[in-house]
Amino acid sequence: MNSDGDLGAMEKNRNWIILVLFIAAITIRCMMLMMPHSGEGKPPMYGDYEAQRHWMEITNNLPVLDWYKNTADNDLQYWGLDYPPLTAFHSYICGAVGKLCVPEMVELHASRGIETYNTKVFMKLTVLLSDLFVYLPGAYYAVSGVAFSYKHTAVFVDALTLLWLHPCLLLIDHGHFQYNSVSIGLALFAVGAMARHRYLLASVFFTSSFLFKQIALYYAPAFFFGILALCMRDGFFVGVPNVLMTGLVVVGTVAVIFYPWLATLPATDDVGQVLHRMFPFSRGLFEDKVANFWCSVSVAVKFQRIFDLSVMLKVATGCTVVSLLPACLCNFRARYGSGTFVASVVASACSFFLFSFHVHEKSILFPIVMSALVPVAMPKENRQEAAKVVIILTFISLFSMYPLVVKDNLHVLYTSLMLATAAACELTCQSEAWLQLWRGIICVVVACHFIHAAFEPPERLPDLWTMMFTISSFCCFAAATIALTVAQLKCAFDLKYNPKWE
Amino acid sequence: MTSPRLLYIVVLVSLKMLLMYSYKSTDFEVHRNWLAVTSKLPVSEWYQDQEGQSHWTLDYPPVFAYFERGLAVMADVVDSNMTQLDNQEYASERTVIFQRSTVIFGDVLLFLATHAFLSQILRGYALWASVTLVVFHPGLLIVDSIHFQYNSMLYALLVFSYYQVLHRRYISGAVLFTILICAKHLYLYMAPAYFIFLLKNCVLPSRKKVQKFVLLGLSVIGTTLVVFLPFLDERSLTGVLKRLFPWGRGLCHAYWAPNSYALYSAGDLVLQKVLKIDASTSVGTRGLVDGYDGGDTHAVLPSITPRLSTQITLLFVSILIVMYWSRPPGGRSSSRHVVEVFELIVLCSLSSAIFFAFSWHVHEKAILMVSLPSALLLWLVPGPMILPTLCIYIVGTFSLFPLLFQAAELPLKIALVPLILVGIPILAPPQLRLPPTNVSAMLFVAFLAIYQSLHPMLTSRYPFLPLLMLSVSSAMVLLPAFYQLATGFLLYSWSWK
Repeated sequence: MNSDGDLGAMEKNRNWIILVLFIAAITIRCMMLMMPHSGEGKPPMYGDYEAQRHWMEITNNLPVLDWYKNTADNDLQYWGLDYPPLTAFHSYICGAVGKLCVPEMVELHASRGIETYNTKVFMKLTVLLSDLFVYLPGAYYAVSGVAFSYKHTAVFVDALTLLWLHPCLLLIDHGHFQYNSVSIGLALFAVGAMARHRYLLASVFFTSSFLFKQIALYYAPAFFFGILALCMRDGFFVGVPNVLMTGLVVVGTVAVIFYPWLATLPATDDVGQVLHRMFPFSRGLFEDKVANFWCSVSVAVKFQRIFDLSVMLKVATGCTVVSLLPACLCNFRARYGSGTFVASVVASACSFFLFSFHVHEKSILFPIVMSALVPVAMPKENRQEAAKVVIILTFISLFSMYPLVVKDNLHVLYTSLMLATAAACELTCQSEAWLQLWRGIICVVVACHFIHAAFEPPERLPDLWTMMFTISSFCCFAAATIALTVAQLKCAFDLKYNPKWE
Repeated sequence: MTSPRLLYIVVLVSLKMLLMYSYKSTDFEVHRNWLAVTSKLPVSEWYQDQEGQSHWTLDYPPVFAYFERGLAVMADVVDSNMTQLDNQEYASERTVIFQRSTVIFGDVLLFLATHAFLSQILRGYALWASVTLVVFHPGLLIVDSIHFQYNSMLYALLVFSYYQVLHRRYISGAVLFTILICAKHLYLYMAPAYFIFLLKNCVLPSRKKVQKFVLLGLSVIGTTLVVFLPFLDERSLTGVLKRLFPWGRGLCHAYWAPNSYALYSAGDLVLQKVLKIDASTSVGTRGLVDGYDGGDTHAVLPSITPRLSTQITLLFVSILIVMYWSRPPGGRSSSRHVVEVFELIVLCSLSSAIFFAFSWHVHEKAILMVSLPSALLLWLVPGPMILPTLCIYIVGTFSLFPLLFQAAELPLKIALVPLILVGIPILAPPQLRLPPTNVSAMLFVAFLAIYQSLHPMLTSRYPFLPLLMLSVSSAMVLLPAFYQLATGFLLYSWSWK
């Protein structure tokens, strides 16, 4: 698929190839239906799987206004809803269908910790169907929008394959068990709309995306500057009404989704309660061990002990903004295609992951899935390099999730995905320098796994092996973000730069 | 450039690993029990009935028993509870992962054998498409990777013997085939074909016919003797033979293999209903399945006895042999050996097809004996034969769907239908022409295969009907396909490409 050889046959059969790829993507998801999930067999709290099931139970048995409140029937300590309302509505739909098929799954209180065969199949099917209806179409829409200037099917199919079979997404959504694909799918729809210059549509999609999972706000600065740049393209006075329209659309979307809670205003502060659940700022600088700046640097300098939490909040915000601003501002100098916008989205998400507050290791999903669009959006001479970087970065993201894999007993799925991604990397990195780099990375990865499996960590530093994983991943993520920003700036400001699109 | 074979193996292992946690049938416990039996009991007791032991007794020939013995050595390291005799239904996570890994190892062997064999004949895209069709055969996926068996490993042995024949090393080919039969005696289905092939192409053309014949015979018999060496006393031998050939079972297996008896029995049932004959004297569908006690098998149509079915089978095998013997050799001299091995593969699949269609108590898994060679053949057969080969491949796979009857595999089955119907013709040679009748037949069979799973959720009446309809419609596609394959091969003289 990476060869430029049989051009004619590939073009003719392009639709067939995409169809087969689509079916293969579904089949592979069907094959991993019975993999373990988070918290399996671990009372009393279980894991994310139980959280999702519990939300189906809550939304189907309680009135809407009680969903985010601590009531007698809704104990917020036991996996209280902390995602925005669209997740709640999604859980409601899944639970309603569940009531028809496996009613024991959503019985109020009685269904806690239920882990029967039928309920497990049903839950995994909900993720599969969410992928089918939101994520897969969204990925196609994004790639077809971003790649319009390419005639080569191979480029298109490569990006589509990576998105449709994204190993990190498969591990987290179908293994650990979450619904990130819905949020990312909606964000991909938004990117596709932006590539087609339909910024109002993009606003609707992106608002829905972060109203499904607030982590999607990682993309917000890029969308903000991207839409602003698009509106102002034809001049300031034409731009301002566009901006106002966009604002109205965003507010409208929020209003529609928050309608049940807004309807009770000003009598009660239900909306505030929802927001409070969505943005719990009382948590710490980082949770668990994650491959971002604060956690990695805390080996040497324990920031959270030196400075007060409110100070750290400001510092973290400042670092994030400084990191993402250059890439996002480049949107105002986007000269060709949607490469600049896609790169700014990735840079924004990466910056948030590296520097912001309370980042979860699963949050790497948001930058890394979006990065699959970067090679397709780049001009020809950058495309090969970008493809190599992206696939290696995907491999490392998967690697950084290993501590989660250990917790969830997902070794089989992890090994399978690592092997497949490694094969993809091997196939992509065919030039001398990259092959050496890739082989070096494999050695480090294998060494880390070996040390983790063979030796016990020293008693004074029980998290040493986990830190090994996170720090090595952090170095790669940081390097990639810097490289991306530099490439962005070069593209925007180099006057002699004249990218060729073929 | 990294070796494409290594990358392929990595992707193959990665995909097969995804199925590690899927449904495992009683065959999983069967093989675990065999690990226990071969490691804990002395060799003389392997084929003897033990009191109080699991009833999943060893019913494969000795080579497979030796294989299980070898595996048991590693199994003891992984989880020593696996090989305990009285640890029935033991399926700890390590056990499952270990056992599934051994099957994946068989898949890798199949890839290596198939690639080695086909790379002598095909190049480029044709080679890789052909290898993919064999190694990722959806039937293998269902039976080996999910249901749990070792067909891929055994088929690798068969392909390896084909490889020897390709290089004109007939004796080693025959020895390998003998070892294969001593690993799974179901491959006796192919024995007449192999025998007659060797007779025509190895013994007859040589100048010292008798010597060659004796040499071949001795090597086959010698191999068998070596394999059966620990079992050469009367007690052990009767034990082995009793296990390998249990004649007390019924005409059809519980799932009604799509062979001629499925059509025959279905016709009998229809006639019963139409002529309003009281079914108390006949045994209906249960008697066909449960056991054969010498009574009537069918109510309206004449009964089938084991002897009759053997006679019918041998009749058709003889026809095949005679027609092959009298066929003139085809092809240019430069590619003679390729034509030879091609003839061998077609003969093997036709022989299996005849046994599948007419012999006693055929398991529907046996369709793999015809379907796997057809995967190998798809890129090797001349134009007119591609279509029946493809039909055998696709419809044979759909007829295996009832083996996966649990809820978690239903989405996979539903996804496999479009994947097979779209993906396989794409991987087939470009000369393939799919007429609408065949497409609709395949779609119909696919629909029945999926409906068979959904039927219990919709109604509790007629529980066996969808399975019956699936077997009958599969048989109605497969049997003509066998016939077309046979006539295409035997009656036309064609020149090899």
